[in-house]
Amino acid sequence: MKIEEFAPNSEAARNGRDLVNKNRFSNLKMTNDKSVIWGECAGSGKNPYHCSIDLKDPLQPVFRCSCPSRQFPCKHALGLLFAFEKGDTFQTSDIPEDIVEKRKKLEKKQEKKVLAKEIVKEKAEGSKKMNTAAFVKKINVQLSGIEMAEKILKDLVQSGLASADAKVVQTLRAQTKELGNYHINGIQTAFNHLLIALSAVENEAFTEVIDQINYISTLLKKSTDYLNKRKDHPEDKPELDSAIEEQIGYVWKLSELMQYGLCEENAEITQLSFFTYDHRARKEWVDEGIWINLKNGKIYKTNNYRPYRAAKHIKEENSTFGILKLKEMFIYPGDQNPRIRWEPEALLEKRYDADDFKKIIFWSYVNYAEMIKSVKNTIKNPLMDKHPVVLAALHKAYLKNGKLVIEDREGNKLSLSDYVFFPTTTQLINLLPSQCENFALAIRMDNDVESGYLSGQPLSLITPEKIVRLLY
Amino acid sequence: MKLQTLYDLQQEINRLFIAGSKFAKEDPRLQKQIPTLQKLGEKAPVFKKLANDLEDLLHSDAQPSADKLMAISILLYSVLYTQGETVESGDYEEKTLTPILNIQDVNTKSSYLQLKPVIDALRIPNSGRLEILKDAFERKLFKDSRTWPYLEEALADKYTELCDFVEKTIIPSIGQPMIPFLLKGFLYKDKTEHQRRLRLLYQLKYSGIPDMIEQISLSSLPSLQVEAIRILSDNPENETLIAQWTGDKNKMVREAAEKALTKLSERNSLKNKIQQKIKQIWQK
Repeated sequence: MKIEEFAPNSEAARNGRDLVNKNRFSNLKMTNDKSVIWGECAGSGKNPYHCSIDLKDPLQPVFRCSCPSRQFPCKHALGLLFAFEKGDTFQTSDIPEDIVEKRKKLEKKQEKKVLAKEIVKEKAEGSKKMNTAAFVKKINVQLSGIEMAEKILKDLVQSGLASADAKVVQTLRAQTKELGNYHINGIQTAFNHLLIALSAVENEAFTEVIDQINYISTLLKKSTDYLNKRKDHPEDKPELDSAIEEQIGYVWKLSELMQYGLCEENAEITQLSFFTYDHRARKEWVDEGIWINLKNGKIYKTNNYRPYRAAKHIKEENSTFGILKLKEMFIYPGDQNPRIRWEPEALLEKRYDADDFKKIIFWSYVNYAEMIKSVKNTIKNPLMDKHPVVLAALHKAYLKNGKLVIEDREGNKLSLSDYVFFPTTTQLINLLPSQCENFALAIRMDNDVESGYLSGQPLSLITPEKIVRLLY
Repeated sequence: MKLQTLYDLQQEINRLFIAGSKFAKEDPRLQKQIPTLQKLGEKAPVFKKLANDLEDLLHSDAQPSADKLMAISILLYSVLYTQGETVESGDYEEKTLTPILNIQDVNTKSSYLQLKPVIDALRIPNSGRLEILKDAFERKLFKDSRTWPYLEEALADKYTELCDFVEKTIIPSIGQPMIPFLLKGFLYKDKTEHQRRLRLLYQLKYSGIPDMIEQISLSSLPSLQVEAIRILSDNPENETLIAQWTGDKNKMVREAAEKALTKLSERNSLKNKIQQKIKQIWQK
């Protein structure tokens, strides 16, 4: 496992390594079985910081440090691990008393946690008694919020986007903020997105704004119908084959996903690609992983949200390699690439073996016509993801007018290009051999409504021996 | 086949969104779209629906116009999203791919948190960038091909020391796989970054160097010419070619040419001296 993965952000990892290079550590010690390491690290003050790492579970080491940093683990603890990995001399010693104490405390805490989870599980399984009055009251609030949202949108469309000068935008911003009081945060985010798109317009290119208006007006219409139906039949299940709940603003709890059977047992997945982006409308950083289920070939996403305000204290995720075996994998209601999540304790990692790559390639689309059809079916729905990820089996690849084109056995073609908001990955041109039978390519689709072209950005190349990551 | 009607309609719909749906009533340009749509509607009902909705919008007052415009737009964009073409039309030749590495040797093993700070250091002006790159170089992170496009771009950075490190240390350590990236960035323009790219291409033994030099010699790009002269001066056969530049109107070019000639003549005289010495030894 890479030390960087424990770091809350890349900077902390680098600073930790710097501390080792600058010889800031002293008094390095470890237990006989190397399960605990500790030492002192010189800081800016007179007294050094005392840090230790409990490596009893090497996959989940416990970091401790006496420094006041709010980052966890801090650079000192990470540095200590770097020093250990580098092979610096650690003298053997008895395990310090305080660490023994802390170990005991932690064990107790974990026992409690397991117990709490079982209770939640029982609750999820048992029928939960619902407070219908409160439920209906909440929906009424939501519906009045939606009504307000409809009015905002209608006014804007009626008077025209060109009329949206600084003053109008300011009013829109205030109205959008107001939407936050109606339990419809998803709709509020959609308006934020609209505002951002509106301020980014250059040369009268309003297509993205109009696309977003389409999204919002469809969402408002569907939410109204949906919530009215929910209000009339509160005992019915929420809609589980679309992301409508989340799009309105609901945050699913894992216990609910379990209750509705949106959970796969003993799943085996592997990451195909990873990227972190700035979701300005949500005011959050999003660490997005693209995964494939080895058992059914379905492609999923994981989203780790880090709000700007708390970004410093939430761990930035890292790309991962190898197969993850999950005791329970929760699947959020959604479209072509549903979002998944799991509990850290349900996870077992395994290195790749050659069969795994063949399994991935097996699930790729051999016929691009079918693949494109499934993509178009998704993107034509205004509420669905406009950039689904698919896996294409390669037969042949070549350059045409400077662009990389892939072709299936039937002669169906797809041209590949970079998506403007992502780093370049079309360096694939320089790596891919013309004869690429038995390879598969993970692609993020992008349909440019203005030019009328549907193209894909390559994310990862899967060969029978390995995964070549083109993004992260 | 691209259905131009739909894209024309999109233009009109966008225009109304920009101007405001209240202007939709009896809009002549919208009116013009209807007959074509009706004709297409004979084959596919969706066009008929578009035509009817459009007609409806043309007769609507300001108040209900917004809803109607949005309804048409949703339908139109839905249809457009099914119309995307997957390859560019036009007769272009298919060109074979020439990979720079055997796919087995391509290395993309570094994780996001290892790679991201390095790529940021190559792209974004921030303090401590050079240290990050030096550290990454020691940790052999530049073996990862995902850094290569950014290394090439970094040659144009404002921070000279960083460019120097990238040019003199990192890129030579990667070697010939960098050639396609350098070629992509190279332009016949009078800028230091292109001088660096030319120098590297020569150093990496790119086979097209003679053609590039010829083109540079015909242009008026002093900094590239200076570099070209330096390259030519590695071969004594180019003496007459270099001599032509001693009369150039640019001082920088003249100086480079003279310096190159001196280098060549020094080398010649050294060669002569050695030959004389050998002769002397023989004669003894």
